[in-house]
Amino acid sequence: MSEITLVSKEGTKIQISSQFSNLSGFIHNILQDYQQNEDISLASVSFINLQMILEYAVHHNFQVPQPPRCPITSPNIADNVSDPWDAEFVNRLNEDQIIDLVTATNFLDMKSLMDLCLAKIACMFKYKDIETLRKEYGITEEFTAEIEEKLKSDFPWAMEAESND
Amino acid sequence: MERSHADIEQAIQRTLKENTARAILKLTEIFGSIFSRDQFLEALEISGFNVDDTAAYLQDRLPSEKKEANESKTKPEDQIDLILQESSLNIVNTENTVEGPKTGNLALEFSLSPIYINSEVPVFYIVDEILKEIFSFFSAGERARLSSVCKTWKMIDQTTGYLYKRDCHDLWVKTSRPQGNIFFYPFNNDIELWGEEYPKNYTDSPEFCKSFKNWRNMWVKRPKIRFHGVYISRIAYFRQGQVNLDNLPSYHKVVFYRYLRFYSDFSVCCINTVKKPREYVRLVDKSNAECRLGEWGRSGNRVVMHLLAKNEIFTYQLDLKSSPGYYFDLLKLVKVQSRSAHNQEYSDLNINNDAWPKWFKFLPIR
Repeated sequence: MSEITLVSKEGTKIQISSQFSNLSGFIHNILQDYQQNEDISLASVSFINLQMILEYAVHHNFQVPQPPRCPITSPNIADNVSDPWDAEFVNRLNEDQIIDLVTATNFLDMKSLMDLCLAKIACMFKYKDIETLRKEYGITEEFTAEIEEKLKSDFPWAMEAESND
Repeated sequence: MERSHADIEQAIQRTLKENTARAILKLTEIFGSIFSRDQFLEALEISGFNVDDTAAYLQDRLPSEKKEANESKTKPEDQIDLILQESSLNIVNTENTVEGPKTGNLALEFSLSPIYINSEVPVFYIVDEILKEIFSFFSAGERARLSSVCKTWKMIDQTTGYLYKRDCHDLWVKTSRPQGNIFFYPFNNDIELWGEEYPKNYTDSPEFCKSFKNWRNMWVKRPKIRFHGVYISRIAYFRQGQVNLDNLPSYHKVVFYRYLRFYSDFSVCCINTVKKPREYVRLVDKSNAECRLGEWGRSGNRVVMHLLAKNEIFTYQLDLKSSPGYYFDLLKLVKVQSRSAHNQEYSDLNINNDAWPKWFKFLPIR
């Protein structure tokens, strides 16, 4: 079992088992023509994110875990993932860190961890009404009153969802 | 000369303070609703604004009442509160502005970039591709709702039509043709229970499905049974009781509820109880000891439901109806038949009295 060396944005080096290619498409592609002792530089992944990604990979033993439930059924992330460790892992991050991590995993093509983060973000939106969302995320009123009325009359079932799921 | 120098210096100091105060006021106007107070103060400190000086300057200019009221408190925090309150006069709720929303971090990310400062554009900084992935975690109803938040999200919803295919699949492909008889007792096969046309007549024809043109349309307009909640009917009638002491007839008002819950594996449970929906809907489940189990099938708008009683089987025929603005959230009771478990003969029951429910209304469970 060989080891590869990853270099973060800041230039910090990290040793990791080459099994990491199971989780990351990016690493998998690079390993196709990989010279021994060659450093793999990850230009858009910071050291903190890299550490978190490694923690995740080591916990799951470099195997792709079961994806989160889709569509999600509850605003609590713990109900939507099979492994409680996953829920704890994302719950200790704040929104900025999650977005950061999503960008990093997107670069590494790590579907499993990205899905986990996105499910967490989806959980933040779940069951919130439109006005709350607009207020929380600083989205200004874009639709004029007429357009909004038209939306409501065109898609009454969109408003129906406010009372449903 | 020295004296005038000192004057000029003072004037410069005052102007500087004034400018700083104005700048802070302006910044508060822009960011007050996005930042929480602590974040805002931190940002001010980092960018080199001397908050205490400004507070002192502002305090000089405040109405005397406020000054008196705040003289006892000399903590810098309170002074800052004053600044924030003063500056947020044009925002309706001062308290909210000072506290700030708890989660504004996503919005911050964009508002910090110069394009978005003081602009009317939505401040949401997630790439569209990732936003699409996030949307894939929502059910169709939730997505439709989110699409009315802003134009970007509306665009995302319109370009993720393929997600409706998944939702349609969950609702109908899995549930249009029940295979095997889950309602095994007392019959051994489907034909005894459902008749010979089963399951051919309990699925929508390909032509009908094609007439919807796209998945989104199908999800909205094709008749469906909802699984994420309970259908409720309230039944109320007067029942004549025993003759009382005055030799006058007495009446009892009877009120009870009938709860129906459908499952995607074609089982259904039915509970009659006097308990009110608010406290009871969460308990309506197949594991509830009071429930009466059964099996359901759907053909077009017609829902057929077999419920197992002690020695007989009740066959309900219900019609799916829509109330204004909703799709298929009502069930109308059309016909009820019963038969004993031993012979195959049906006998119609008279449902035109008050003791039978007429309508069931859907109530989702969160």
